[in-house]
Amino acid sequence: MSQATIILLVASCLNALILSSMYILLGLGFTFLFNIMGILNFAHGVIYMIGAYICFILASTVGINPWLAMLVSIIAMGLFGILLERFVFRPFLGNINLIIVVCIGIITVLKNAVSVSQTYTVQMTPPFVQGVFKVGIVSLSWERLLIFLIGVGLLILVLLFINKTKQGLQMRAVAQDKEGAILQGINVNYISALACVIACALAAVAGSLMGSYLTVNPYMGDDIMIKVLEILVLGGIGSINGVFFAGLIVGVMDAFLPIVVSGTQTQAIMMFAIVIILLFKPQGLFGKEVRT
Amino acid sequence: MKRTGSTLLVTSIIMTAILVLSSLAGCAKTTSTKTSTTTTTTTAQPLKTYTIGLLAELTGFLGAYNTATVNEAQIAVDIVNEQGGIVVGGQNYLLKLVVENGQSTLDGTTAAANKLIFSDNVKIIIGPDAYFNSAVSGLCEQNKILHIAGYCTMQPDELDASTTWTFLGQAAAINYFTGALAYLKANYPNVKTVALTMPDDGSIPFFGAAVQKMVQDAGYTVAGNIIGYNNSATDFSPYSAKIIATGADACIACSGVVTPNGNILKNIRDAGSNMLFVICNSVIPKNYIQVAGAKEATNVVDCSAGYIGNPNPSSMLQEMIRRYQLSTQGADLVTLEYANPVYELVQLFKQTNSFDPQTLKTAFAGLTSIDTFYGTGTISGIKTFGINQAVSYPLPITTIDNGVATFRQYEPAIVP
Repeated sequence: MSQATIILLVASCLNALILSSMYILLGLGFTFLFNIMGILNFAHGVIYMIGAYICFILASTVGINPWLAMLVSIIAMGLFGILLERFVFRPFLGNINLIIVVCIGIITVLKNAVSVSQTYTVQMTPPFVQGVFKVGIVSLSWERLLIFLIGVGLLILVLLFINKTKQGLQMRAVAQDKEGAILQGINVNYISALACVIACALAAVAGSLMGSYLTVNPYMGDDIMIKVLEILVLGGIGSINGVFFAGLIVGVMDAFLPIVVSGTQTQAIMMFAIVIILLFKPQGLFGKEVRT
Repeated sequence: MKRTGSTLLVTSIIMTAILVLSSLAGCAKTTSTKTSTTTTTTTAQPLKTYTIGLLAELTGFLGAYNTATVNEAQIAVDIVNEQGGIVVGGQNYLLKLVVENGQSTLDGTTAAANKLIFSDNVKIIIGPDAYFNSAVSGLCEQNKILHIAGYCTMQPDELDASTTWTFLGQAAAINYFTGALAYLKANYPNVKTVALTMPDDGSIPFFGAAVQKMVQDAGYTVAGNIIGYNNSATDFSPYSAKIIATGADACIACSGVVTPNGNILKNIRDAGSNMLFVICNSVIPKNYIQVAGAKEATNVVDCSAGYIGNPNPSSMLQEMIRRYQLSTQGADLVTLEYANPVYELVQLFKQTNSFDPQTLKTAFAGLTSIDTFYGTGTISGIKTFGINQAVSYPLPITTIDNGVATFRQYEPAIVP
């Protein structure tokens, strides 16, 4: 095996891990909301975009430290999550049609508002870290390593939160049996708001990081939303484990397929693979059978 | 009950706000264009107006970009109107742009073209962008509408021998590629093999095939197949890894925008390769430095449209830059791909003393050169498109090393 091939394989493995961590991060936020509130939040991509813009504007235009800008973005989007839950999602709980319409409304308003308010210039958040990390024949930018580390770190934190904290256990209880949770004295509205805050904050982290790695634009959430939906359907809607494994699968495919086929063929093959998997596992890899 | 009622009230208010804001957002671009035109009308004497259709992708992936290029076209119209407009048949006319949104889709662009032709009743259409001409050129041919595009990816029905009513007012993207290849050949004798990359947006079998042949005709070996990337990829590292693995001496980014190309460059450098990176598209070097990073933006040749900072801009270009920066709080010009067709049209109006599309078409087809914002443009394209209806103009070549862009020369870049 030539050195070029080895470098290509190693680079692709690293790419797969980095992409997977970002996908899992976003998929988790989406799954949180679905589990707790039964809401498919199609506006998640737009929340990711707004999170990226807040960080970009604070770091580039206002000139504050990018880390601080990301923190502000997380807090701002977390607060937005509270408003979202209280005034948008809660009134329509249980009505999927209305929720979809509301999500489309949020997407249209936020995306167009950003689009018309921005001048056409390249918009990019200043780098959080700079430089290249080199091991043997492989080199990787610190920026990409950071995305991976933050992704993995947050994933561990979220899993710890769900499994080890009182609120996390309450979330699991609400997800498993809402009425039962209410009878046990769990404040479902509080837990729902918390889920919204976590989902929006995770989207803000992902958006801030990707705004520095790629660029920021009003449509950046559209493509990532398609990825998130692919992951959710493949993993089984509502399954945390499903998000983890489907995120890995999609990340690996995204990293390796472009090596052998072109860009759009990558998308087509990926969708085909997902359809094939769903033919044998209609509920997704980790999804539960729908109870009637 | 009371709580449910108040919740419903708040929800209703939010939904109403969403609807109102949504409507406002959707109307925003049309409003700004109309405002600009109205301002001009009040300051000029002539009463009659002549309407030109402008087809742009104001929403979708080209939304922000085309918003800027429409702004440039409007400035070009404002300049003409402030100078007294156009005199045709002894009557003064102010020019007016009517803009329709193609929504960055072929269906949307077809609908917008139909609206321009059958509802707005225009006889001249400028635009659209990217690969969307295929939705417009045929319609213009059938209805004898003069169509002046600003960009072409050489897909079927965009511009060929059968689209006689279509002109390419700015021969991008092949124009940029021609200039870059000529400079590469003259200045980098050590480059023998090249990797080619471009968006996988359907143009590879057409634009890709054409540039591949040009590269081979120039004596280079193309390393592997054309590397087509997904414009909306989350990460462009896999493409960079693939480019490095070809072992080519240089990579030519044949077309595309700054996000993918800048990231591919960044990832190539971060992976430890210093291969020559040649960019031929409508993005200024400054933006590549911004996206790739100063350290990574090195050993780069850029051939793109003429912009701020390049020596000896024409007085028209200087005026365009001044006004554009005023209207955008200092932003850089984009490509003038809608403004150049406006400028060319004005020359045709003056030359023919007519708005008749047949007369204008015949006059345009009979020219061998025409003025552009970037200097004298050459009308060519028979070998590339099968018809001599593409305007090429001299392009600035810039090299970038360690984040510093240096102007080298103007390359004639005449499309064969």
